[in-house]
Amino acid sequence: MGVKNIAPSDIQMNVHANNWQEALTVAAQPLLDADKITTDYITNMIESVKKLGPYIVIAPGLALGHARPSAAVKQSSIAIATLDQPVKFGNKDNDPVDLVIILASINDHDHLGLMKKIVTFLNNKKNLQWLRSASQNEAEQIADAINKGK
Amino acid sequence: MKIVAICGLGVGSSVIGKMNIDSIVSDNGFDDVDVDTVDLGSVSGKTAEIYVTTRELFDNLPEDIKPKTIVLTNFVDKADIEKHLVPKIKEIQGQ
Repeated sequence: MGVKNIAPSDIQMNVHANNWQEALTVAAQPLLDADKITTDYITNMIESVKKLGPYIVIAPGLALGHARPSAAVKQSSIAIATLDQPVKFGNKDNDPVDLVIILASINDHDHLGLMKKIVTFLNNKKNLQWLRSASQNEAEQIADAINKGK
Repeated sequence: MKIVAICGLGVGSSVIGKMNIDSIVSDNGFDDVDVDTVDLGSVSGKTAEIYVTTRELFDNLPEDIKPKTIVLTNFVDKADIEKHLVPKIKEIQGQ
């Protein structure tokens, strides 16, 4: 079956980070607070960038923080955060980053349903603009739009 | 024909790449195109006609894979992926 929806509480707008490590940490905080991941997962995400490079910045200004599925994931989930000030990940093409998406999955397929919805949402440039300019009180509407697959 | 999206771990960016490529293949009505994902460490064992990856990972690819690889800077922009990928598919399919 897999995870199908993003929780509004996992969407944060205009949070602050001083560097890319903090950006991944702060964006993943709601997943940690809700016991969907452990702190090991955040460590693993950061280690993965150190090892493989900043390729996780997969589009201009957009970082997809993730690590391999492991025991550090309790429940497959996705979190989204926009940053009040962009930070650099060291990516030649797509820095600086102002939008961070955290992906955590218990295995290699549990997240696919929700990922598909996120991809559909991000394919629409208007949605990207909306996400980047939204305030915290719009988190529920954004979750709703993603979950409906608009 | 096989297209493989390569990323560091095989669970994140390459999956997004695959979803967009699947949709491009279907939009353009290409037949017999199969899209798969792989992590950087396993790419040698994955035979394909076209590979897709990001600039950061391209340098780490085995030399024999590089000539078959399309480098994308944006895995989310379907129109941009389409622009790079469709001519390559047509070239290989001999259209």
